[in-house]
Amino acid sequence: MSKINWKLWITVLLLAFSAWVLWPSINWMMMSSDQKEQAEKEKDPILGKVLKLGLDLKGGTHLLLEVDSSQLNDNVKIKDAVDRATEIIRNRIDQFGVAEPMIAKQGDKWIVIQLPGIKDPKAAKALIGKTALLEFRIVDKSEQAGEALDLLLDKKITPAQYREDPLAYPDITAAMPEGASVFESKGDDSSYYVLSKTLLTGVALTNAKVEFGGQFGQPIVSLEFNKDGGRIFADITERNREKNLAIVLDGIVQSAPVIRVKIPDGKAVIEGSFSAEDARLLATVLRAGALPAPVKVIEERTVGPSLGDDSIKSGFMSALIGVVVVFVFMIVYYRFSGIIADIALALNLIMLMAAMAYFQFTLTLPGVAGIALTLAMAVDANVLILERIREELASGKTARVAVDAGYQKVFWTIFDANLTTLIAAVFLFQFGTGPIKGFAVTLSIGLIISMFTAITVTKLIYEFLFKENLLLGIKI
Amino acid sequence: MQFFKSIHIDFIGNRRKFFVVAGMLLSMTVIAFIYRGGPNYGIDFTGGVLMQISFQSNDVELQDVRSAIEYAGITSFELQSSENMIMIRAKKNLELQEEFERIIRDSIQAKLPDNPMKIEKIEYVGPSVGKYLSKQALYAFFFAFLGMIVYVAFRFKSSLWGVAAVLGIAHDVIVSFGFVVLVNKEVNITVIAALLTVAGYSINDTIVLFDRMKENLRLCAKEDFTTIINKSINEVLIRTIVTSLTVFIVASSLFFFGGEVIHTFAYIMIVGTALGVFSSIFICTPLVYEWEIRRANRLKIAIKQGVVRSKR
Repeated sequence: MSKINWKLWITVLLLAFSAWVLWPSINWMMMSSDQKEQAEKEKDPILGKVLKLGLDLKGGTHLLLEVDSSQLNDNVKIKDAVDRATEIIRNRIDQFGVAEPMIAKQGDKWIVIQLPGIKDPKAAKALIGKTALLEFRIVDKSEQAGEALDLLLDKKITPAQYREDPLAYPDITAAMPEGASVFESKGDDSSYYVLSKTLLTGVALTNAKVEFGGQFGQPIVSLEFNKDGGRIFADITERNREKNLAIVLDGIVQSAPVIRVKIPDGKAVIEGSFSAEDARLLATVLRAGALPAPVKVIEERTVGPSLGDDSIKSGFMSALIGVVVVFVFMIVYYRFSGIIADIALALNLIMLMAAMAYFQFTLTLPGVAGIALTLAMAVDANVLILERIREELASGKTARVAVDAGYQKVFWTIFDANLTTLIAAVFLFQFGTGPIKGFAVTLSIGLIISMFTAITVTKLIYEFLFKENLLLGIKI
Repeated sequence: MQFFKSIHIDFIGNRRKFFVVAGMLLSMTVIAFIYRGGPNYGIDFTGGVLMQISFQSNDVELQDVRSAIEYAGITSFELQSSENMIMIRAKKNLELQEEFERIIRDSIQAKLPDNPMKIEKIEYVGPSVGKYLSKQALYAFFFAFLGMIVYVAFRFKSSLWGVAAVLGIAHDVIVSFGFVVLVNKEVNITVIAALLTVAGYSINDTIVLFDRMKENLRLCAKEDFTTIINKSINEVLIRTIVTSLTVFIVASSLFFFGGEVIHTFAYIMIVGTALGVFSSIFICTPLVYEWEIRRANRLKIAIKQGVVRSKR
């Protein structure tokens, strides 16, 4: 009797815990899409508690990046480069304002990025995937530079074409001051700059932010360099006073402020007629800095939000239809015992969802299929038990003895069957990628829970009913 | 309710007929492979680009899209339309994926300027990732199989039973794969997941049957081997039918209403469930029977010749 009590308490406790874990998810489902957007913007703590949906269900972009180790400096270790690239990308994505992004290293030189619910994957990719080399160069306004620029304009070639292969244009190269090259200006394709060699790269920058200072409270961008960078920057600013310092990102001049004074302490400000938006963008560009080595996208999976919506609807609907039909079938075929089996199935489903939410696993569409399979196996467990009880009853045993014998005899069968599948699922989880993993997660958790619900919980219900004399005989 | 009161089918007596059926299924797989010229591997394994696009107005000729993409200079691609979507797949001669996306968008939009298109889905898998995914899929299969063999051999204290069980799974997985090749469905990661599910379901079925055989061999030691095995199969037959029926219901529901993404998964599940039942009853068990009988015969001969002395 105390044994029943003990199991009953555990079941009730688990159920209460599941309800508590699932509560935020239920709240979330009730929210309007405006409220959801609001919560995502404010990074509401509820986001960390709701059941996470995969990109295939929610829409979004999955990217796998590879750090190009062949372009690393010899003194930079690949691990360090990947670590830094990961951090820089994380920064960039944060600035992009994606709710719940996932950025992680994978293997030696891969970085996985998941951007759920993103509306413009192209812009995000541009921000992430680009080599993004940030350089500081001095604008060369000498006569020699002017001549070189004129030659370039005459030939109607673009700066990018020239930089690609300077040796193809020997006359321009001959005219060009040493180390200098031509660059386009941001937002204005026709105005070109001749710039000196790179004096400093974005690696030396530690911070860049928008401030509202200046004479009329207009936005300014303040920069901070690291120690070495600060020293070099002091040197640059001393020698090039009243010249323009060009900030070049990926070969495009972002801004070219005039150097007014020597900056000795590595702390500079850029003033100008920025709008607040321009200033913010410039600061972002500066802060995002330069990746230690270029990264390239080696895998992309983007699902548009409407397609995600469609698959979520059809996926859940189909699973629901299947489950409901199975529930009805169990009741029709096994009558009262079918209801008990159905209760166990429902509990299995609730606890599975709660476990997913609690451990913050991601539910994907293959995951939904995994749930369907789990339920099928849970049904199998109950079918095994009930068929066995039926056999025992047929051999003339009383209901109570038949139930006991039925459970006892099939326990190891169910255990073996579930454990073998679980072994397969664990390997799938270990070696599987993406969709396979999603499938393996729900299947593994589901199988473990199903052993509890299909065997312990149903048995408990029978024991309870027998004890209270509510169930005198079983008809299956 | 009960489907049948009791069943007495002589499965073992008819085992040769079912071996022929299994042989036919396997030959069908071989024929499917030859007919289709091998599996149609998706970009997950070959590397490549898959784009799914939709148009504001459904009135789009596939031919127009095809010529637009050809006009853009992309030569090796496949088009497929389903409902209101068009899928574009390219596996070879890949430009950078960003280029590919832009080229396709621009050239289609130039061809059909009055009908704005929307990119619903993009999948790009680089060649190195394709290799990685293939390798991981093979690992997953290998270790999952190995794990199952070891466990079954351990539980039934006989590597013979373990091997018989795994031969059954191998049959199911191979034939299921044959069914995928037969209808020329694309083999991607989801297909691999589905095949592993089939393996999991198949072993589940086999274990239930083996468990009952083991139990009956212990309980009814006096009856002869054929009777015991036939009895075991018949006893679990109702359970097998009920369970596979429920799996069938779920899989069919996913197949018909689950949408394009789980469609292939459900297709394989439906085929695989049927095969799983077939293999445990008609392949694994008869194999165990044949082997045990042969072993017993050898033992009898050995006893006659006095090499081994009978216990009785």
